Amino acid sequence: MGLSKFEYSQLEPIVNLAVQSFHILHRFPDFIYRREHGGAVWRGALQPRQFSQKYRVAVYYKLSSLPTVRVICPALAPKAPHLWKNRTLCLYYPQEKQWRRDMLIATTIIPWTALWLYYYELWLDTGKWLGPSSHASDSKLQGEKANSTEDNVPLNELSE
Amino acid sequence: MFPLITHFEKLLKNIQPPKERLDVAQELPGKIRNYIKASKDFLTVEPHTRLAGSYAQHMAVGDVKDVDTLVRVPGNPEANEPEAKKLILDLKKLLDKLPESLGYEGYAAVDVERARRSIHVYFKDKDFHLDFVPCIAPDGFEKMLYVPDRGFNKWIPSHPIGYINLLNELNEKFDNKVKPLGKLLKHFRDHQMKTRKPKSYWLGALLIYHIHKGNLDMTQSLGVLFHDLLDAIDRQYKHLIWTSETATPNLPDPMLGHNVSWNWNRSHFKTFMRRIQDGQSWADKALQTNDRETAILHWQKIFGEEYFPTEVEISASELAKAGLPGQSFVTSTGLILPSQPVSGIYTPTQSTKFHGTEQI
Repeated sequence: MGLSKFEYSQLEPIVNLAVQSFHILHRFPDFIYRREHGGAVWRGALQPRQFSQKYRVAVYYKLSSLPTVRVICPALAPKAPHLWKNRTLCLYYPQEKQWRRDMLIATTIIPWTALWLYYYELWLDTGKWLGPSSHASDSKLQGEKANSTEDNVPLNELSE
Repeated sequence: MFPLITHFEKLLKNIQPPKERLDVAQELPGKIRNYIKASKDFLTVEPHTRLAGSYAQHMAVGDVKDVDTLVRVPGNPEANEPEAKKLILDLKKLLDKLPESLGYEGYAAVDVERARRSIHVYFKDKDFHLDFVPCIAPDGFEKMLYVPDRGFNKWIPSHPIGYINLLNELNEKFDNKVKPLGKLLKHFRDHQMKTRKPKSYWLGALLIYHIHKGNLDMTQSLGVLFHDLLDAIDRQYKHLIWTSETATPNLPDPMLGHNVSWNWNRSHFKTFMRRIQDGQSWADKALQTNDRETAILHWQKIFGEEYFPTEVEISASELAKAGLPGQSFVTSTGLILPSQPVSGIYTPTQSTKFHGTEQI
């Protein structure tokens, strides 16, 4: 008898929250870590270009799910691309590149967030998303009607 | 809101002084120093000369033709030794031969039109000139020094290098936004005012005043900062327009505190305030609109359509390539860089593709 999906997932190497936090706070010292509602939240500011404003962002993470990122302020443009329906950022296409729990948020999710903001500003300047894009049509994306799955539900019930 | 970051980057490139002028400002100081240092008739003190003014501040915009240099001389400013009037003539005599020594034709002249405390050196067939200000610097250029007053009757305190250092400090503290903001204000003045312009130093003093007062949220984008600066200047001085028929601003020197704008002509001040209010109103509309083209048109009213671009497709494409995930780097503040920075904490980005349909 093989392992169940849950049991199998327990065998994967996991970077625990303390280690994640250590790396985030080392690489992005302005970020602040809090435990909220059984999950971890790191809040901080990112400024992708010299003349950009600072964007306040929050990274939510529970070991049982995938990290999600929300821009707290300023409000993003209503039609901004590459957002999930719940306004969290689409930083990668799970079917092409799955984020794994042995990865560091500090070297993946947060740099991708800065890059997302960088390309978002270029989109504001030109009306075109000039960053690499999966071009996948996904019903869970901004403007579509499908519900989010557990994988991409942000911990948005957490206070910001 | 459209922050139009690429447009502002392009604007700042477009208002840079011509390259040949920047080259002159870079190349000449060393040659000038050697020339002045070698003189046996005109005594100077180590390190003899120092580039000052907008080129030294890295705040030059447009067609700035004068390259300012301080010349350090020995003396006692309180005793008016050497006598400023005599010294300036001796300096003129020395500088008369400078163009020839640099391989140009030209001549030196005492500035009687402007601050009246310097020697201009003009070059035949060149559209720039050098502006030399003698100074007594008891503790070196980095500290307070003394320059001739108007009419060369005495020596008065000044702190030009302290001002440059202060600008550098603020610029570093606020993510390199301070000097670009100062450049935008100077270009705004030059574009909107052909005459009656306030001095660049006054604009710099205004900028520093509002930063120190905390009137500007330096985490904002450059366009918002420009709007907020005009707004702050308007709120600071508009009462002078309505409460008096003669009042002008008492603008504190950023280094020494005295009123630097004591000779601001009332009608010139009123013209400046009208331009500030126009600019503030246009910037407000540019930031409020939900239409990119409308925002661009308003910024073009402020800075000129020859300077503020309509299209930035090429620059944006280049930036997009420079930021590619897997090739670019991110600093601890989130700045995306195309190559590894020389210092500080940074993280190489890993490749990814942003997920989803494009919305054009």
